[in-house]
Amino acid sequence: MDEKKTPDPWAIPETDEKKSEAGGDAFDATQWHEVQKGETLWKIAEQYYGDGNLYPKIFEANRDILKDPNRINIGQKLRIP
Amino acid sequence: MRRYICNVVIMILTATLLAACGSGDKGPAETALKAAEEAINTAKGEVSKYMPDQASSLDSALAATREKLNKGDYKAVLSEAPALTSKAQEVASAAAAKKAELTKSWEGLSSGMPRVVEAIKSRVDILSQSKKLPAGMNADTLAQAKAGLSEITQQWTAATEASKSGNLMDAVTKASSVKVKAAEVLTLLKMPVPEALKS
Repeated sequence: MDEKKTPDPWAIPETDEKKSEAGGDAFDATQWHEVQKGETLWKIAEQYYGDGNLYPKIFEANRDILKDPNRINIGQKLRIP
Repeated sequence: MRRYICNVVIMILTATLLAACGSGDKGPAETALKAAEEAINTAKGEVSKYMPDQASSLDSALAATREKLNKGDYKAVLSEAPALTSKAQEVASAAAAKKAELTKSWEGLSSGMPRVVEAIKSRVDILSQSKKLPAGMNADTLAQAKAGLSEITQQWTAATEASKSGNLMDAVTKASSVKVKAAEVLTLLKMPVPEALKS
């Protein structure tokens, strides 16, 4: 993936049935974000890091469920590293 | 006069008998004290590690009983030494239970805390690359989080070293302070605080 490439801010998330891997681990400090309608990785990175340019961090942490940073789906639970 | 002599003889005999009875207790008193001493010495290693206050109490009680033996108060020694032996065994059992409890605590902490520290480090690293911090955070907050992470890392290393050297009590104490600090830093970073860090 080209880290300079900005995901399409107009990409409309689609519903996804994939579940998060959050378990009952008492020491689990993973932060999860459930994708809402209209969100992009850029917007999510901006929300958590203050800087949308850092979206590849979220993409890389979720490579198991994301194939394309421009395509995220409503209801997907993303790890926020 | 004859009655007087008779009384004196009775008194002397009584005193001799009492003395004989007293010195007769000496051997059993010494044996009882030795048994107490052995029980305390056996228990001492673990008790000193896990219940240091109890170890001091046992030492004081043993010294007091030995003092009574030296003063010839054998009856007191015969009464106190067995109780001391029982107490030593009781405290040894409590120390073993404490050790098991600390071992369990350390196992939980040592498997869970590194993941918490890693999550904090990852977020601090990412935020350090950010050109603008998220809402509710500023440069001071990030600086506090970085300082907290540094403290956590040092304390965690110290806890691990304490555990490796067999000092579980110190390891768990240090790890518990890491838990408290980690919860503070996670809150600063607006990250979720895991359940294990809330207690």
